[in-house]
Amino acid sequence: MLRTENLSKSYDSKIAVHDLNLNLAPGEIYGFLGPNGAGKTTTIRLLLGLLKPTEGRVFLFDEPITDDIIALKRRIGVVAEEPPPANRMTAWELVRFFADLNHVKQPEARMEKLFNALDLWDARHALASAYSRGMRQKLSLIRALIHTPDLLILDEPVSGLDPFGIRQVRAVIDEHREEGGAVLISSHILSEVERSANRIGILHQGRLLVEDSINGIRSRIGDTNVLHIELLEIPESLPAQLQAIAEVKKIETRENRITLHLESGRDARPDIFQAVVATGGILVTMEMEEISLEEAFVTVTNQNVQQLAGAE
Amino acid sequence: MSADLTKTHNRAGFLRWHTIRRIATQQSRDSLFGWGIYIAATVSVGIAALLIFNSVRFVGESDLNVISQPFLFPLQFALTLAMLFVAVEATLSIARPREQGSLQVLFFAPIDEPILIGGNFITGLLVYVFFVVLTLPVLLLLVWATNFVLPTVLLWAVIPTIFAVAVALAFGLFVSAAAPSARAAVLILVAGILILLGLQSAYTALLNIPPTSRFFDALLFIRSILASLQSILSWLSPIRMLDIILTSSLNNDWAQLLKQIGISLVATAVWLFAAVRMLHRKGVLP
Repeated sequence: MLRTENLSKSYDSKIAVHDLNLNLAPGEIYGFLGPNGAGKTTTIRLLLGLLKPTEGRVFLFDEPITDDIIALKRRIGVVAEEPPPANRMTAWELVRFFADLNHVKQPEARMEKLFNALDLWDARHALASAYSRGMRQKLSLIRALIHTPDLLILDEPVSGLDPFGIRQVRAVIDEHREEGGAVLISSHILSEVERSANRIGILHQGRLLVEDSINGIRSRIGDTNVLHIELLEIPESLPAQLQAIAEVKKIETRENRITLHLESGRDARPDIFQAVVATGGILVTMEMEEISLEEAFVTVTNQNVQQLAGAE
Repeated sequence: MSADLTKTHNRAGFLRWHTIRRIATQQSRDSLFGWGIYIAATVSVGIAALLIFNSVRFVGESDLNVISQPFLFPLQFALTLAMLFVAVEATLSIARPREQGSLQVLFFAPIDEPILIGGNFITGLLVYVFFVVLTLPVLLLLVWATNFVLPTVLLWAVIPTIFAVAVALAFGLFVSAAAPSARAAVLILVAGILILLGLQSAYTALLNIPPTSRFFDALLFIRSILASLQSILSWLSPIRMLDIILTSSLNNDWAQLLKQIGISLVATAVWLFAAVRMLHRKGVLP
């Protein structure tokens, strides 16, 4: 659906995007992460043909974007950080205008559905320029979805939204995905990306450092997982039994809780469960502590900074 | 196969035209809902009335009791002001939204440079027509009030002035696409207008120096240079083009009128093409 081949963009001596290879399949939500100035917005502008790459190519729906950008744009919806509209259109008129530009016939039913889904129905006849930031953000999403695009490109879609707004936006994006559409979502709100995305790409200083599923990224970063088990009472022989499991690197005991540091790779939980049962213990809870996307993000970007510093 | 290809091209062409029309409708609506056009129209009518009042006084105070074409200059002034108004709007039409960041949002939709330039160009023409429709009835009211004669041919002559306006619009769009900011775009346009008006005024002033003047011989060389520039201005200056179109219509000089319309069409095409190329080069990002 979306593919880039060695995409690069530089300004004079500054490299904004370097050798980027992305691939987005239908029905996929791809989380595009990176600190400020990482090159996310530049990449999105390259994908839309608003910037010309220094090197490399962009393919949308298997067509290079240089061929017929107008036909390709009809299949894309975009939400970016946008200024308030300078014209005198109401929100309804603005969406209607974009529906016309996309040659959508009789868009009213879809407009009604989207305005309701994002809770803007009652404010539809207010001037779009008078909307608050969060309302504008939702309006941008309606504008981007009005022509039922195959690919949705979202740059910071939930910034400025309250928790209710975030839920509404998430539901609309999920529905788009369920209908077979793909989503490229660039955000600094990592928890949001963590909830929505199937796959994550972490961009730093114009380079794609990691691209994997969230679990894949976690296992790449941490060489150990932490498992907490709680028992009614810890049998005397249990610690020794647990220590005998190959993946267990370290055990910490506190009251009726045991914390196990496990080597990543094979799932050792069945063995641990068996050891508890064999020693006559009664298991109350078993909880795997997962590295959050935020930790993964910080670790990956820090590693890159250190590598770059080492290279210098 | 070939028929299918033609059909696809026709469909694509139709969609492009539809988008251009939609942009033009929206932009014209924005213009008509703003104050600018009404303020400019009021100023235009006010000054035209003042000029006519001046003519009335002149006729009354002189013993001539006759004046040639009292409405030519006021009409020319009103039309020139209308042309300058739409040219300024065209000059802002790309530079301002690009500066604000809203032009890139428009480009998220399936539009490209020729569509945007085409939409803004048609907007300018529509706004000009509206401006004329606003001001012309007031001029007719002045005709009735002063009892001066307004030749019908002068009213008909308003129609081909749209070709001169087209050149001003195309030039405005080129400046808008090329300028780094809205302010720079307006400054470039104003500088261009002042240069063109300066050249035209200087030539008119030199023509008015009588042969008996002691400066006549000394200024002969400059006058010949400005005379050559006048012929160049008929290709470059929309103000001069409007002047030629109006006077040639009034004098029933059809050959001159057709020639000037042809020149205007060529100049419009050149500036529009340059505007599209420039927008493509400069992009739509702030």
